[in-house]
Amino acid sequence: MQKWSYCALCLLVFCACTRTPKLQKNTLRFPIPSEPPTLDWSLSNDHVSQQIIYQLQEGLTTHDNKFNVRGALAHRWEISKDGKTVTFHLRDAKWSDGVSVRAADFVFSWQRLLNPKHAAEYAYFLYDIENALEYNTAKLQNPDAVGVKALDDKTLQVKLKNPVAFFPHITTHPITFPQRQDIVEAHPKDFTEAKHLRTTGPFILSQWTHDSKLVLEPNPQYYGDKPTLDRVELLVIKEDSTALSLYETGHLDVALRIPPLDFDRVSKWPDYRSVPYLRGYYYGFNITLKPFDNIWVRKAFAHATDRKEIVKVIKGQKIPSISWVPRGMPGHEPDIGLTYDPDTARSCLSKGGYPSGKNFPSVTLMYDTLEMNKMVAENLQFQWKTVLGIQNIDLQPQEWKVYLDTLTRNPPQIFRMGWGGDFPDPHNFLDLFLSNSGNNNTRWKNKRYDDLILAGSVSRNQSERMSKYREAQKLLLQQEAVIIPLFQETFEMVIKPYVENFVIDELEYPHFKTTRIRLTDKTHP
Amino acid sequence: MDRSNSPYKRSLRVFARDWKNLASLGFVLLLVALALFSRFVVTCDPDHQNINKITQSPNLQHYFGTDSLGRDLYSRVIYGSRISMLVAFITAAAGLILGSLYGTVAALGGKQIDTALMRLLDFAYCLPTLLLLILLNMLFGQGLVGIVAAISLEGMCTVARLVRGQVLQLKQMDFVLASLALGSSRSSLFCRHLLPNLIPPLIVTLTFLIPSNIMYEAFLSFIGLGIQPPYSSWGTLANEGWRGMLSHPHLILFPGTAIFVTMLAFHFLGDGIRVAFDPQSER
Repeated sequence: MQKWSYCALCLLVFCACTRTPKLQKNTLRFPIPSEPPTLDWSLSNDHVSQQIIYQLQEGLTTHDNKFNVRGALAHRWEISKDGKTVTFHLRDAKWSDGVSVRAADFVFSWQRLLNPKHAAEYAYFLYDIENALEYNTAKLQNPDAVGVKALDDKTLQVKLKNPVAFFPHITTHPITFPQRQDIVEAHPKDFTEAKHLRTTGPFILSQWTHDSKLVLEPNPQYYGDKPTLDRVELLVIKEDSTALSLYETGHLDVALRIPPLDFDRVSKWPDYRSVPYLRGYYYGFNITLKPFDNIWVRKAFAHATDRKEIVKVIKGQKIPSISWVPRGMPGHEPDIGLTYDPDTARSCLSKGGYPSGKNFPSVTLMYDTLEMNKMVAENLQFQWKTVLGIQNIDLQPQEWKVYLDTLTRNPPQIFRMGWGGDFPDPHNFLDLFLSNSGNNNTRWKNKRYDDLILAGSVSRNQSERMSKYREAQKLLLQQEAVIIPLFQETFEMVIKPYVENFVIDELEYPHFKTTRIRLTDKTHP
Repeated sequence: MDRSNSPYKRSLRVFARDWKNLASLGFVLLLVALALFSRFVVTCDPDHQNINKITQSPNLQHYFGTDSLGRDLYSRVIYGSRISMLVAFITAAAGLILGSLYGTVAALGGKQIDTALMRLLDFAYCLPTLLLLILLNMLFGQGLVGIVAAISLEGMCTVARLVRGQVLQLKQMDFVLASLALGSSRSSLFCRHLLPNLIPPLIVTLTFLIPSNIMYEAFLSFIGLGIQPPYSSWGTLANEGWRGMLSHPHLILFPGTAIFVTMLAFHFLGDGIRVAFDPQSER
């Protein structure tokens, strides 16, 4: 009897020992920080979702490495002389079930995006199209009045209200990707599930276990070069530190965010890389709530914020910034914004009616539960306490999905947010704070700002455009201090040496299509 | 009557016989003193961030090292004991008082009231403790108030059952019947006859309630439902610490040890008191 117990015990111990998992042939294991809120590209408004959609689906156009626009599902396009009509000619591409891609798929998708019933946050992306704004705000009932038409199966004509210079950039964005009317209407609730989803990109979604993992496999119908990977596993791992330990134990091939606490150790490894990208990290005020309806209070907070200290705390090579449009983009104005200046901050607060922070009401500051966000929040809480004497700032973390919802419905007095570039034009960062932008959580509405951005977007003279944008940035950051930009982000990441050609571009899209796995190597650094 | 033979004296004697009891009592008293006078024990402001001293290992200036924002971990652990102790004692006391009232009302209130109250309690009881805590915490909101309310109610459930059982048993005793026959009111019956007999089991429960409440507080704070920054309890410190476990083990070591040693001391103390009140314990 005793012998058997020993055997059982040994078996137990044996099973309990973890081994480095065997490297699966040609599979890339990649972490995502949360369950993607949706894979319906028309309704998606966050980067986790769009990073995945980018692998599955393509649009009319796409970017090359230098951010020039080139054709994707459209192999060429023409812009009329007045700049108001764009005609796209589609290539012979197929959906993953073999059905041909038609111009009508785009018309359906864009009309659906603009349909006021769906209240898509990104609908404003298409507002430069004729009647798009009117239809989206229910002033017009007929979707066919919107300026997008299928001239035939392979020709799509877009009529613009304003001759915006960057329209072919907009059509690179997931929000504009085509949709299959038959699929969406047959499964209105769950057409994004693996069993229903049809896509045209290099990969198909072969499995989606909610809150756990998504599996991508090459799309046999893809018109371009086939991916070399046989399988991509996207694993939902909420904690960066968990992702790093999974990377260290060989359960992940890439970890995109090294937690600040592990940075000193990990940054010495040969697999460490720091890649900057077009994402600004900012704190916004809900300017309809006291005390931030007062410009002086907002200015005081902005002047009391030392970005260099924040970047030091969270480690890595992030770029501290007082301005909003990130480095690497035209329209980047590093000097526009409110600099760290404790004395000015205190005098602003006095002008706002709270000398030395006396009688300052209790304020709620919200952020989403990532380790880095928590550290930034705690550091800011301390900075504002030290400089302004404000004691009662309550920190409230929320889970990402809930957080997005809170910001849309009922934004708190101060909130953390980031904005990643959708296309490399300053318009993309500045139209966020337009009065009618679905992503403007500050509730700030400013006619002059709206006019400046519009003037900038339709002007065909680059220097005139930039001067409009410069003025708009001054208004947003200096005169009104609606947001406090903190820094531009970098991916502080580690990649296994056997993963080759892995690129994550400045718009944060990983390019799985070109990634290779070299199989002869050992699995651990 | 020989005073040395009074039950309390006897219990005290039994308790004092074991060095473990005395050591744990001493340790608990020390902890309470630390929590009360933490202001004088810490070496610097526990909320003060010094970004030039991020994640230092323990040294002479910072006995427990510093955390990810350059705060002195020693001071934070000492200050953390305030929250942990505060929560533990308030919730234990609240649980005890509420539970005693609840249990007594159920036992003395008649059959219908008893059934209604006890079924309600059964319902709460059949949920796993941690789940119940999380639900209650959601109900009362995050932060100190929410955490105190949740743990108190959880403690109340345990105490109420115990008290009800005791009261039901005592109700049948001759001295209670005699008191009733002499016409004493319910309240005087409770205060003069039932309560003194309830105290020994309640003290034992209390000493077990406190460590489990420390643990619950640490647990809730650890999963992010409890105390919010910049305040810290041992649970939040442990939560921050485990993330850096591989790179900076001191961040989890000190708060973890604090929780562990405190729990151990309270358990020894509770066990000692239980034995001391047990009439069988002295041969």
